[in-house]
Amino acid sequence: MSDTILEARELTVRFGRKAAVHDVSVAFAKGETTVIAGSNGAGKSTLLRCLAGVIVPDQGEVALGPGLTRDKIGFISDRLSLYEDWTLQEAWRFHKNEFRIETREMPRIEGFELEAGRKIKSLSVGERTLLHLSLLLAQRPAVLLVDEVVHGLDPFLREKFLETVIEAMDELKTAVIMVNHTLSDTAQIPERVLIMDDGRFILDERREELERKVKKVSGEGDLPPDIPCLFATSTEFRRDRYIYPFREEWRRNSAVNFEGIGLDEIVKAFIGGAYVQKRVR
Amino acid sequence: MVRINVDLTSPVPAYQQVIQALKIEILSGRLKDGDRLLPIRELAKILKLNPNTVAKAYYTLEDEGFVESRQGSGNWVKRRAPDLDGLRRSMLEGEAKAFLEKAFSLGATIEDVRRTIERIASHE
Amino acid sequence: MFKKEFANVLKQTGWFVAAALALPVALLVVRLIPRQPYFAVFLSVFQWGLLFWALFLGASVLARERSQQALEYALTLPYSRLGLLLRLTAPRLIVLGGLWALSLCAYVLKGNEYSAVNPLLLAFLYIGLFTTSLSLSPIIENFIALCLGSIFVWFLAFPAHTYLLIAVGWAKGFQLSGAGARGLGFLRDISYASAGYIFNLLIFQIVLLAFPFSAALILSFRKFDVRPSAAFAKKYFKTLGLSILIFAAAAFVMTFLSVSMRFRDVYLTPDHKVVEFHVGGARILSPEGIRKFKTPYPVSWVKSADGIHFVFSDYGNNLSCLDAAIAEVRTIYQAANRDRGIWQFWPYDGKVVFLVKPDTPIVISLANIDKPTSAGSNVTTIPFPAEWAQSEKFPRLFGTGVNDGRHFWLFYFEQSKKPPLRLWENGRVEGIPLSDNKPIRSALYVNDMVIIDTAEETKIFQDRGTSFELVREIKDGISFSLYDRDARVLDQPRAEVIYGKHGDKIAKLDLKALQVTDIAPLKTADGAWVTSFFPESFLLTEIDSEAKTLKVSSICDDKVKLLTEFRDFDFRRQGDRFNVQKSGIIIHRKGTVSVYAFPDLLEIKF
Repeated sequence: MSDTILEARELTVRFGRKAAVHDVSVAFAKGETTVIAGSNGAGKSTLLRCLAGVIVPDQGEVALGPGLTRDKIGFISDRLSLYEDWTLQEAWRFHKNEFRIETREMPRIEGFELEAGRKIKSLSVGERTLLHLSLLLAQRPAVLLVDEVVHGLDPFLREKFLETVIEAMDELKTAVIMVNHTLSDTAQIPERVLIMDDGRFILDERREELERKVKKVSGEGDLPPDIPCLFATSTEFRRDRYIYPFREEWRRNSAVNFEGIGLDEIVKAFIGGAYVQKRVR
Repeated sequence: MVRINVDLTSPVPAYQQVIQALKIEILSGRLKDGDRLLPIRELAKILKLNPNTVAKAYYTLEDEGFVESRQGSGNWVKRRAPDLDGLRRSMLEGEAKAFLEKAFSLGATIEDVRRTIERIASHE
Repeated sequence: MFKKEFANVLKQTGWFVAAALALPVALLVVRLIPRQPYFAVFLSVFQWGLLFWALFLGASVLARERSQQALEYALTLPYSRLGLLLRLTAPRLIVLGGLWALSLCAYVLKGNEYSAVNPLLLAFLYIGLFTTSLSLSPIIENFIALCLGSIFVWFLAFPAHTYLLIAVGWAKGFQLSGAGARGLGFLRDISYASAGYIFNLLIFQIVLLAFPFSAALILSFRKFDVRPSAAFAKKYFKTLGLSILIFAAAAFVMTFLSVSMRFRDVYLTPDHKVVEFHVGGARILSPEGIRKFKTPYPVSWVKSADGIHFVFSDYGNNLSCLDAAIAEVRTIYQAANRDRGIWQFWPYDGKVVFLVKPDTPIVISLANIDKPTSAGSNVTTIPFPAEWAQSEKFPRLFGTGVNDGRHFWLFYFEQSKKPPLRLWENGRVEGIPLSDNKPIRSALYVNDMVIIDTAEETKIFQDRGTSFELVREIKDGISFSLYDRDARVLDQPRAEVIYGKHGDKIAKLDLKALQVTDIAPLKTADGAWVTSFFPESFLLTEIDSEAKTLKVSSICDDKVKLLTEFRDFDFRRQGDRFNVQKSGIIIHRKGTVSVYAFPDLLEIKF
């Protein structure tokens, strides 16, 4: 077991009366890559902000693992929070001082250059995101928390972003925790999948396990009744049923064709299933 | 350059796809003995994979004797006299199995498959 | 963060200073205010403008983060919430302190000329406003609402303080019912009189306001985050409520202890009893023990009639008398209407003349001290005739007498165009023809003459029975300051000489020849006073500020004889003062009171 680098213990966060995060406990290991997925309003961003220290939980605490200090945690969100009136140079100098970064020059992302004299508010969303990422990586963070930024980037910047993160994962062994709606081209990056719904975790599995345990059955055929169906879609053209947790022996026992699916579709199935459960309730 | 495509929707795990693709490159001779493989980080960046995944693939290849890793300088295609035929055969079987699974799920019969293969092969 | 913030605050403050420099120019040019030196206007604008700047500095602590969407980023910086708060607040405090120091320098250099407010007092207000707006800023996101809210809360400190004082007064056993509108104010007056402005400002700006709001901010800011302020506000207000309770209790205790701390007025009777008055009453110390008297209303002003009877006014608008011989307090006069208070009074010869305010036109009242009568029944009032009756700010009684069986009283008026005058008991008034308007330092009625001492000369008028005639003008005259509190004889005294100061010498005024002759030099003219127990004895008191001594000498037969020297007396130290009375000298030194009796000036101890 790798050592825990960051842990959330019984976190509860309320907005008004509603609990956005409800008694959530989870531990993240050194160098581990995790994706937190879920429906809108599930509490993912709130949880991530607790981990980042931006939100103070009403109950519970966030514990930093041995050797982890606050300046080794990097947090970037789609709110793109930086002092807008500053130039890049000023932003870098400030960040460098606050986090006691030793390198003198702002670390550059290959293929992505910005003039140091430009003001932050003049940058596009994508440019700001990458700028913030390069500031964070200069901290040589042990934990990187990424909240929903990837979809806001154009394909070029998205590629640059992911490449940069992957590089950090390899070089610094940074633990990366990403909150994402859809996985698309980030699907192969996480090793661990957490799915949140209504402020709680409904799934916490390793990706390979998940890929093994979730299968899709397309087409009209009947399903033996004892096979757990997580979620079913049914349109004019197709009918898909998602099975979880899948057992290999069912392949032998029935004529049904169980398809393996990618992580993106798995996550969609879980979120869909959660919605269905809510409606039923 | 190395041709590797990772199919995200495939049920086959990414690292296995990488292994398969690299083996094909090596067996076909496109990657020669003594060639250097891309550094883990580079390959991971290109394929949008977790570096651990790439590392696992390289490690497995090393285990199976295709590749040797030299401390500090990366991973190199190994000079060896491998049991190429045996390997080719097992790879071929692997590819065939995957192809057949897909074909059957489309509803084809063995007859359909054989006829299709013969038709295509005669055109090549 | 600190450096950035500091630079930012300095830049903004630059605007404030520029405005403070420019506004007086505008005001003067447009003639919105009367012509005066630029610096005078600037000083006012700066001092009062700094109040608003203090408010702004506090309110703007999170403004940059909010307006530039950088709050989330700021909260991820590698220090605790309190660390962040400190780095944001410290530059503002420093700048505020710096500006205050500037105003202090300006005041020290030139303030007295321009009647500026003492910066020490304003400092409390700055701190009060700053901490209020600072404390409320995490809760109120809209900047304008924050400023208005802070001003409102800050204002609440004033009535809060008044209620605190009322509570203290009630706890001290004072009667508050029936005190009326003036009653609510009298407690503030007591506190200011007994404990001073600074103490009171400390209480209601610091203890009641700055401390609880700072505590609430510091204790609750740990929970501050990017969620809408309502969540954090609940925690904040809980802490605030608790802090206010605790500090209000502390303020109560502090004020309670402060109000009765000192015996303000101390007297020595001829039979060597010590009579002490404080705001809650009086006590008589004698070899037999201590007699205490509690007054229902706080004592405001005490005068000794003859060293045995002590007439005092209180905030209930009554005039009473403490008879030290029989250890009894009697009410002389009780105000019928609580809003009409005892304003000035002069006891003499078993009687007391007093003025009740607001009485326009002026009416004087007369009462007997000795006779035990029911209050008010022996009060005679004599109104001034119409042409003399307009109300005056500072009337002073300086002599009384009887002519042809009719009583008269002599008054002069400070800061007034009205000349000194004689009022007869039938209401007739004669003016004393003091032609110029020079301020009168003191006036004396002796040997049927009125002697008036202005800064430049001494004028002597002879009583002709129904009028006064100027008989002598002595340029560079003698100054013979006679204070109200001394139990001097007002009633037609007779004497041969008066001693007083003449420039830097002791001089005598011969009352037959009406000549001033120097008799002895003074080491310094300032800090020397001639006190007279007119007409029997004259004393010279001299203060040496460097050596910190007080010398008392007697002046007799044209000679000055040193009686004693008191050491470790520093007139500049707060609370150090001395009081020469007929029976002895009272010295307040370093917070303790010592009583020395004539003729040997031995200390009286009990």
